[in-house]
Amino acid sequence: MKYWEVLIALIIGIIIGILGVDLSNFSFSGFSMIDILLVCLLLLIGVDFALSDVNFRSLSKNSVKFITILVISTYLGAALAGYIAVYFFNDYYALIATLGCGWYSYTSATLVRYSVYWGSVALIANILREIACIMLYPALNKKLKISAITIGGATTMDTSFPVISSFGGKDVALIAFAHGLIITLTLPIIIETLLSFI
Amino acid sequence: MMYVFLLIAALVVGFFIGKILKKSENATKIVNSTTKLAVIALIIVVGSKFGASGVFREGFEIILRSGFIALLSSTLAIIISVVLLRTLTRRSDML
Repeated sequence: MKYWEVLIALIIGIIIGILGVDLSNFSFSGFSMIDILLVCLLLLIGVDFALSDVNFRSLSKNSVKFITILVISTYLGAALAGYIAVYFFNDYYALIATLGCGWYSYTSATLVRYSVYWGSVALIANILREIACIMLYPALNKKLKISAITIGGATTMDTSFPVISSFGGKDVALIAFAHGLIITLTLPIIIETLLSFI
Repeated sequence: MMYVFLLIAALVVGFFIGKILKKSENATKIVNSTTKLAVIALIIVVGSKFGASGVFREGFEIILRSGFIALLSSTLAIIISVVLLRTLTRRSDML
């Protein structure tokens, strides 16, 4: 997805909101618009994964080790950043915003149900993280071609994947895809569990 | 917690639908464009909630906090991964 498309969608949404229409208030049989769209999005991600040509059997033992380390690092980095953000901003929703790992559509839509302010922060922060990955990976690739994958978080399986695969090579691309996939599959569980405690 | 199960169920059901569907360029194109539509719709809904709440008046503060969060989480993730890769794989050429 292109950034201008996201920006235009956001501006259209804000204008609709300023005109007095809060689209999230529309509901069908007890489910809000956000719930329905999130379920549709995850359903489509499931279909997309099944249709993809990635063969995980070709992963070596070393690659599995790298993927595990990268996933742990992404979550640890986000959790530590969340801890610092909670300390500075005095709000536990800051932790959820940092844990978004670049998946702005899911994190913002989930967080906006609890706090509109932090939902907006989550949206912009995670878009910035995605942009950072696309812009910085080509530069960081020479010295940190594997660890720089962590900037992308969940986006390494979709939007930032082409950049990583063209600059990092085939092996790194497979690691990046698996990393993004694991984050995408585990993030909803982690975020919903944490939100039930806040 | 029920919501988590609903989301996981959506992922799993989607995966099985994808397995039933025949792999073709058309199917992938349709799925990609529908995903794009769902993301755009989600952003419009989030934006409308944002606009209706009046939070956008604090725009600069939101951008500042977002930048801080994005910078902090990316930097820490890289630092931790470098430390872990160096310690656990003992290969300085694979960072």
